[in-house]
Amino acid sequence: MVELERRAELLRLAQVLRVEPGELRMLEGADPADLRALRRQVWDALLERHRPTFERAATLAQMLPASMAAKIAQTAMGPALAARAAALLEPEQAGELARRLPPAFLADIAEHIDPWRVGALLDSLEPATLAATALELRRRERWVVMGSFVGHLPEHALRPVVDTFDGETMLRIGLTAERTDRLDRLVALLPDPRLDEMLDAAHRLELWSEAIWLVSHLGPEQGARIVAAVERSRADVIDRLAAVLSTRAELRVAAMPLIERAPRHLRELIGA
Amino acid sequence: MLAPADARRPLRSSRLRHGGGRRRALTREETHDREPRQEAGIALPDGIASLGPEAAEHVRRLIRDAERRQDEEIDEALETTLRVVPRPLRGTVRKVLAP
Repeated sequence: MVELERRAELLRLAQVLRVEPGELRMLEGADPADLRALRRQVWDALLERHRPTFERAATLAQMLPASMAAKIAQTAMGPALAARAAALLEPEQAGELARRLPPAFLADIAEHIDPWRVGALLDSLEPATLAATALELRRRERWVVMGSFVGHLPEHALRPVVDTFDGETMLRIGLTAERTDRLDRLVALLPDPRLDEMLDAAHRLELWSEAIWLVSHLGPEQGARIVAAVERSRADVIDRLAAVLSTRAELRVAAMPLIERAPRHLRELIGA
Repeated sequence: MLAPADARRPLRSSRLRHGGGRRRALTREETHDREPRQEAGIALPDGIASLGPEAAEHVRRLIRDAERRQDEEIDEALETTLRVVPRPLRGTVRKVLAP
């Protein structure tokens, strides 16, 4: 799965550099760990480049009433400055500010924040605010941003946020989720019909790589739910899955733990 | 990276030039010269550098572009902030943002 891991890292690096992923073609031979290191270096460099300005903007936000600071952040500072200033605020202050900002602007800010730097800030936000922001990011199809954030959401906000995901969203953000250890927990929150939707999206949009990447990070319980969902799928979906597994060795290897746990009749259907 | 010549050029925004009246926007000296504007000088990870000089230079160019884009956004944001802050607070805000 190193190919998918590299693809996910290239998408994240493109997000930080704010370029189209196609501009990073020259890095397609790079190791995912090197791409991750480069992305963090770039993010830090961009923060340090203007740190005094960001610190002063954060100071300003602390001096003004929260309502005025929110208005200035939205109408004047813009998302780039507001996002990096927010990263320097105390989490409670950032939360107070965020509560006064509309989801569309919070979504703008999310595009300029690296969540592994601002985890505490996310803790201070209301679940409803996070869910509304997630919905806006989904509307914009900002999968990389969503994938970056999903691993850092506080436990109490997971369900409201996951409730905004459809099958396609779950597949796409699963690939770009930096913290793959949270994927099992996310899938556990999805009801069975949503798992069916995921498989349907994999078939309809040819997102089998994303689907297999996701299921390869699941534990036995959620893996069994996926196997059951495959069993419930239409014949044409299962046929396509069988074709993908027979032609793409990397995906077949990744899916093997699940295939081995599937009932015999299903294993035969997918050619295992 | 902004070259020294760039740093002496007026800001792109026409709002600064045409803002007029008593509203004084931050000058380039206030917004730029107090901040380091050199290229970040990121030491590329070995695995990236080993992709060859062409790939390494491509990455450096993308980083410079990202820095330049951020410079422009921050300058614009600082100018706009001063214009929208209520007049009684403007002096204080100016002191905070451009001490």
